[in-house]
Amino acid sequence: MEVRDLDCLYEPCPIPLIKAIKELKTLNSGDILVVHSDQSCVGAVIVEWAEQNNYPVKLVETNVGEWEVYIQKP
Amino acid sequence: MVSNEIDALVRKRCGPEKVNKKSQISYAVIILIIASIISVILWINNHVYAAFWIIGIALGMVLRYSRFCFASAFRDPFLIKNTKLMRALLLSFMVSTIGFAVIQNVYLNHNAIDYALIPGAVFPVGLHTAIGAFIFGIGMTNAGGCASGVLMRIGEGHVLPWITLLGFFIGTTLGAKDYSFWYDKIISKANVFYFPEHINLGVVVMVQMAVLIGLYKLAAWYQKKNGRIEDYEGRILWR
Repeated sequence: MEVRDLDCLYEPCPIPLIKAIKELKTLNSGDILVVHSDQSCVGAVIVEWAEQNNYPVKLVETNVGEWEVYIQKP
Repeated sequence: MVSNEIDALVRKRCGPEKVNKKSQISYAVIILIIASIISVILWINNHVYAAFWIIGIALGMVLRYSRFCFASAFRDPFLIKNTKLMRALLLSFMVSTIGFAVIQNVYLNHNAIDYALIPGAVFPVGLHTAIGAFIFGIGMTNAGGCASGVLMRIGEGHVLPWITLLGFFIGTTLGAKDYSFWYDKIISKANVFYFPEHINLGVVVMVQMAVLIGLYKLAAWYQKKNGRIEDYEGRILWR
């Protein structure tokens, strides 16, 4: 199981989501992608997209104003 | 939906309990006190400004906590085939349709029709509306937010929207400079079309509600086709 980090700090919505979708295509089944973001909307929009497409997903606020979105490729 | 592997990874990275975040309640109290002082000063000088100040802050908080974003509402149907915010926007249009119908009905019962005085924006519609909407749409998607979204993010503490705000000032200044061009070419030839002049206000409201409900059904159908649909508590109704 590979864990890949995707640095999307300072990137406005919706760039992190587009980057995450591209990155997920290169991962294998079972791998986890961790998207780092400092925008509250980014987490919400990625969770929305992941749930709509049946990806296991979890949003963690690691610090004040900093989020990590964990997405697993099914 | 959370898998066990994600849970394990989160526990490994963040520790068993949440990372100790710095409490921001003291900042919130300070800002609340400053906002209250400003509203008192505004109330003494001009009651209307104080009302604008309080409604503005309330709207900003609603936008922040609901994560309501106009840019996202118009972008998501195309980008990720999600019409949740678009449907919320259509619902708010329905509410404002009824609200403005009541306000304008009261106004029209007592006054003659004068476009400048009717509550609500009554402006000429034409090609310039479409051109302006198209240009605004490009800018809105690139900047990651419309006017309200940018102001909300500045309040949230982001620095990037300050640059967008600067762009707003430059854009509106240029727009004001070129206004005479647009006015001469298009706006002066466009007509104001105010429905209550031609048909009964009640009929207009019914037609507008029917169109909005139709659009809502279309958006819900599009969402169903491409994913799933939830109720207001997040329960999945359809997958």
